[in-house]
Amino acid sequence: MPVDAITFDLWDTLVVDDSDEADRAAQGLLSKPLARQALFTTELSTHHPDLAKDALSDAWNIGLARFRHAWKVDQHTPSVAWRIDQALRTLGVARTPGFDALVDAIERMELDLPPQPVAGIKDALDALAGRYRLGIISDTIVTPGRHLRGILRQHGLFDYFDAFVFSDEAGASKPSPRVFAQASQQLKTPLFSMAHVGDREANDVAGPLAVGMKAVLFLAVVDRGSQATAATASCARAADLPDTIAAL
Amino acid sequence: MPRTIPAAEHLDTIASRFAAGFPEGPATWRTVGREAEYPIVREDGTAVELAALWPLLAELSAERGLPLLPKREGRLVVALEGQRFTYFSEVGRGTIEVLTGPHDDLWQIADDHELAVEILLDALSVQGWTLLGYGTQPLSPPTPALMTHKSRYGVLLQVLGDPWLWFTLTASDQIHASVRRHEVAPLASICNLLAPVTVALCANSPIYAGSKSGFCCARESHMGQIHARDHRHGMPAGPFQDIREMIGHLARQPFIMERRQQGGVWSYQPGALSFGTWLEHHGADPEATGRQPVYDAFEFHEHYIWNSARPRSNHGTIELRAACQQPWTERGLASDGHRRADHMAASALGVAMICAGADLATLLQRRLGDTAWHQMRHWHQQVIVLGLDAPEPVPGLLGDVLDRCEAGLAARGRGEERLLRPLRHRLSTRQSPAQRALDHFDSGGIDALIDGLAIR
Repeated sequence: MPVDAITFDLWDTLVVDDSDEADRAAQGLLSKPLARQALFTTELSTHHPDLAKDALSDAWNIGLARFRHAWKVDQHTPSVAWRIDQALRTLGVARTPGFDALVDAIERMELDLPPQPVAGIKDALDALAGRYRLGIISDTIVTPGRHLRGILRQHGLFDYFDAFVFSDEAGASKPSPRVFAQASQQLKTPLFSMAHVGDREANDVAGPLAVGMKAVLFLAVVDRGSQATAATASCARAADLPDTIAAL
Repeated sequence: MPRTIPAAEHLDTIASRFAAGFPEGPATWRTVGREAEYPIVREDGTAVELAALWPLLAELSAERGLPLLPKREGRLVVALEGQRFTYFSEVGRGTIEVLTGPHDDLWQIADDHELAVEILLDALSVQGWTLLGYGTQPLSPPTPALMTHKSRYGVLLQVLGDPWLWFTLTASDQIHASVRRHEVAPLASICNLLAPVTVALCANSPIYAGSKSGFCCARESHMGQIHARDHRHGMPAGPFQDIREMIGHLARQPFIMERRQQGGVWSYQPGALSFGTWLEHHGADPEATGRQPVYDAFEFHEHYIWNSARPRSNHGTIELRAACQQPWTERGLASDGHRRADHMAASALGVAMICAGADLATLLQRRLGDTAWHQMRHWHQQVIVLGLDAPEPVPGLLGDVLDRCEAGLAARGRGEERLLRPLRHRLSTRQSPAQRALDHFDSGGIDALIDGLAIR
C-alpha cells in the first residue's frame, strides 16, 4: 500500500530536545527543570512564607511524579496547571494569586528561548511536502500545543503541516492508538496509507505499527536502539528521509 | 507416467468440492447457529483453568436431563457435547465456547444458549468464578502458559510468534446463517465489507492485562496483526466474484502448518510458504509422502484464516466473526414489553446482514460508490480504535444499515428484529460496549470492570 501521508514526532525529530539549554546557560539562566521549580517555589513562598523549602520541593516532585504516571501509564498528558494543582493539594493550600502567571511562565519557557531544529529537516520537509500530506503527532510534556506551533513558526516549519495532534489537545499521548487515529482523520488519509517518523521505539514505532501504519525510526539526533527495532525502516539523516519514505 | 496436475487445476477441484457444501437453488429459510466464547475469571480477575470445570458441568447438565458426552483429543477433554448445546474449550485455557444450533431462528438459539449459560453459571458459582460478557480476558496477559495444551497450538505459536497468543485471551461472538451456493461469494463479500459496522456497534475489548489498550476493539486490532499484509484476519483485500476467486485468495495465504503422518501417527509441522506452493510440491500425491489428501489439507489450512465473514462448506453457512462477546444485558435500554435477549445483539446483526445482503450492497454502492472498500477499510481501522466516536464514512450510514437489517429480520416473521434494539440504543447514545467498559474501569479499576461485565 503506497504511503500518502507522513506524521512526525516533534522532539528529537523536528527539533532537538534541550538544545536550548546551551543558550540558557550562555545567558546565565537556570536549566529548564530548575527554572520551573524556582518559579513555583518563589510563587508559593511569596504567599505562604511559612512553608519550608523542602516541603515545596517535595510537593513539586509529587506533581511531576503524578504527571509521569498519567503520561506513561494512562497515556495522556495533563496540563502544567494540573501538575501544580497536585503540588498545592499535597501542601494543603489553595491556588495563589499568581497561579495563572506561574503556569504561563512555565508553559512559555521554550517558546521564548526555543530549541533548535534538527539539521537538514527544513530541506527534507520541503522535499516531502509536495508528495505527501504531512502531520505532527507529539506529546506535550511542559510546552502546550499552542506554543509548540509558535516554535514551529519561528523556525519556518509550521506551514509544511496539515495536521497537528498534540497530546494536551488530543486527550491521549503516544503510543495510544487514539492519537494516530486522530491524525488519520485530520489528514483525511487511512492509517494503512500513512507512515510515522520518530525516535522512540515504544511511541514512534510500536505505536504506529499497532494501528496499521508504517514506522520509520529516526536516528539523526539520538540512536535509542536501532539494532533491535521493529520499524519498517530506519533513517540516520534528515536528508535521507525522502528516499527512505519513497522506499517504504 | 502419471500426469502432474497444476496447482490451478487442484484449486478448481477444491473450489468445486467446497461449493458442493452449499445447496443449489433459490434462497429458502435460513437456519442459524451460534459459537459464543466467554472469558471466565477468578475472584482476583485472573483467568481460570477451564478443564477443572468439565466434571461439574457434566454433572449439573445431567441433573437437568441434558447428558453431555466428553469429546477428547488424545487424553485432553476438549468439549462436552449435548443435544441442545455443547461446551467447547478454546485456545485460551480460561475461555469457554458455547455452541448452539443449527436452529430455525434466533429465539430458539437464545433459548438453548440461556439454558447452557444458566448451567454454566451454576457450575461457576460452586468454584467462585465469574463469567464475563466481554471480548477478552481482562487481567491475565497473553502467555504460552494460558494456551490450551493442543499440539497444533504449539506449532501455531512457533510459526506465528507472539501475535498467536492473543487468541489465548480473546472471546468473540460468532454466528452462522445458511446460504445457497450462488449467494456464497456476494454475501461473504458484503458481510466482509460490513465488518466495521459490527466493530463500531459491538466492540467490547478495550482493557486487557489490567490496562487500557487505547483500542475499543483490542481483539480485532491485535489479531489483525497476524499476516496483516495478506489480509488473513478481518477484512480481505476486496470482494470475491465467485467461489473460485475466494479459493484463490485462501490458497495465496501462508500455509501455517500441515498434518504429517509418520509411523501411523499424525503430527503437526510448520507449513510451506503458501498453500498454493504446497500444492505445487505435494499436490500430485500428498498421501505418498505422509501428507493429508489435498482437500483435507485445504480445509485444515482454511480453518486458520480468519476473515470477518467465512463461508463454511461443511455447514453450508457463512460465519460472521467480527463481534466481541457482548454484555449480557444492555445498560439503559428500556423495556418494550416483549421478551429480551440482549446478549443476542451481535448474532442478530450477523444474521440480519446475511438476510439483507442484497439491499445492503445496493445501499453501500449508492452511499459510497466505487470506493466503498477503500472507505470501509479506512473506517474499519478507525472504529477498532475509537468505536462509535469514529466518524462514519458518510453521515447516517450506521442508521441506514440498521434500517435494512431490521427489515431483513422482520421479513422472516419471527420478531427477531427486536433483538437489534440494543444496537439502536448504542447508536443513539453513541456508546459501544467498549466505551461502557471503559466507564466501569475508570470508576474503580479492574474490580469495577469485572463487576460491571459479570453475567449473573
